[in-house]
Amino acid sequence: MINSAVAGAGPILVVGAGAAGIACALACAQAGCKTLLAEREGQIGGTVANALIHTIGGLFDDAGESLNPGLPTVLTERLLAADPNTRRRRMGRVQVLNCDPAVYRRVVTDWVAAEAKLECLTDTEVEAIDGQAGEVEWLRLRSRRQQIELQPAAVVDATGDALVIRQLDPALVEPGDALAGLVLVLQGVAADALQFPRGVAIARAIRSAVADDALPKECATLWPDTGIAPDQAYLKFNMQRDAFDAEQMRQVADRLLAWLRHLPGLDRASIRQLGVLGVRDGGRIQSEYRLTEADLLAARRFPDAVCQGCWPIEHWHPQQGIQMHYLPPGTRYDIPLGALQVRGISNLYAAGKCLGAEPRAQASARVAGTCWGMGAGLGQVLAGSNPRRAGRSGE
Amino acid sequence: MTIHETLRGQVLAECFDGQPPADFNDAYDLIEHGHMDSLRLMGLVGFIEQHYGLQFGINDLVPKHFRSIDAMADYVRQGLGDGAAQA
Repeated sequence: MINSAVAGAGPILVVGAGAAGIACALACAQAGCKTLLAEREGQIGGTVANALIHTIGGLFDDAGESLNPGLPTVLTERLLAADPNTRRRRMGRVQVLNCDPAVYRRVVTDWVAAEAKLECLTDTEVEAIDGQAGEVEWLRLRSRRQQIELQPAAVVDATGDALVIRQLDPALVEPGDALAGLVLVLQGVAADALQFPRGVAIARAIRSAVADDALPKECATLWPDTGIAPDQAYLKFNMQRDAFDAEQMRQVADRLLAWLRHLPGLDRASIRQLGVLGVRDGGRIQSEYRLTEADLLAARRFPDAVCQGCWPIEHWHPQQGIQMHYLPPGTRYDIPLGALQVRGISNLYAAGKCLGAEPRAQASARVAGTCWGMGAGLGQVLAGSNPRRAGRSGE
Repeated sequence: MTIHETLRGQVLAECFDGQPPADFNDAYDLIEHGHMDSLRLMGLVGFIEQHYGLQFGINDLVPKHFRSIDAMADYVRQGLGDGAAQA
């Protein structure tokens, strides 16, 4: 049986301070639960902040309405208030929130720091985990400064790679099935240099240059986009995760910049920042319910829904490149608690990219706004305060 | 098949998965209604180049050429030479 709320005196442990982890920890803490948020990096913010995601998808539906009430909506409000350059933006049929990743990091860092029931531990990893009888019983966190042993009431793996769940049993995680993204931010770009559809023209010119060996092959699937400030451009490389070499990509970025500076409006461009590799699918859990593409297309409702999603199926296929499939107009599908609960372990969950789902279902549910919804909804369930949850997935 | 018919078929497949809205016609503004994004435009440009043997330069990709089926057909017709009605 799925717990309606956690039992026992131990804290709720959320591992990974990206979109889903932050939202989950905030929801638990705001409901009065003692909550620990552990992050292996020195700063929180996850993929949005570290991989420089400047278009946050999954916050709005087709009509521009907030997709999930509560924390995701408050996030939108806080980001809009924090920076005049933050704005809603329509991209084809979807709406995103354009936001500077550094502003996002500042907003979520301040938010987490202000929550009294929430303790955030950075530079901290799960060193060991143990359990039996279908339950996580014991766990040890380690940082450079301290070691903490816990008997957590519940554990939420929001690492994006299911790192905690893998430690317990690697067989509980399916392999990832998507290309990763690497963002290069330019500055000194003329204001209209990448306005739609000029970005398409530049993407095509880059592909031609790759075909002519004027640019390295890593540029072949590069997508350019306008930035947050008027003089910025965001360029995204797409690659196999195991083929990524940071030093090599810095050299590729230098060659690309030299080539781009011959194009109109890019002659004064320079490199502002190169992000870390953004993993789109770091592995999906074996869950009580596996979300399917058919569920998305049918806008399926679940009695144990934690949130809703509506982003297109944006699958960066490892061999075939991007495959974009829009859901029928107006579609909102449920993400059930069962897709976040690790199969057979009553107090272990995943939130965010690692949910239990088919690869093409994950390719929609993985976007940051939906991960905020997932984390917030799961946090409410764990704290016993989710008004939407009444039954089990698939019933 | 006329240029309009050919482009209509491609736009329906690229932008609507074959299911256009009730008010869809050849003057329907694809950009205004949010049905033309970068990926779809990339696909359409590739199709037009391959099907009609045209080449889009970096300055040819402007909204007015892709706003509607009528606009695309005008552009293709100009590229093929005035008077071209078949492809």
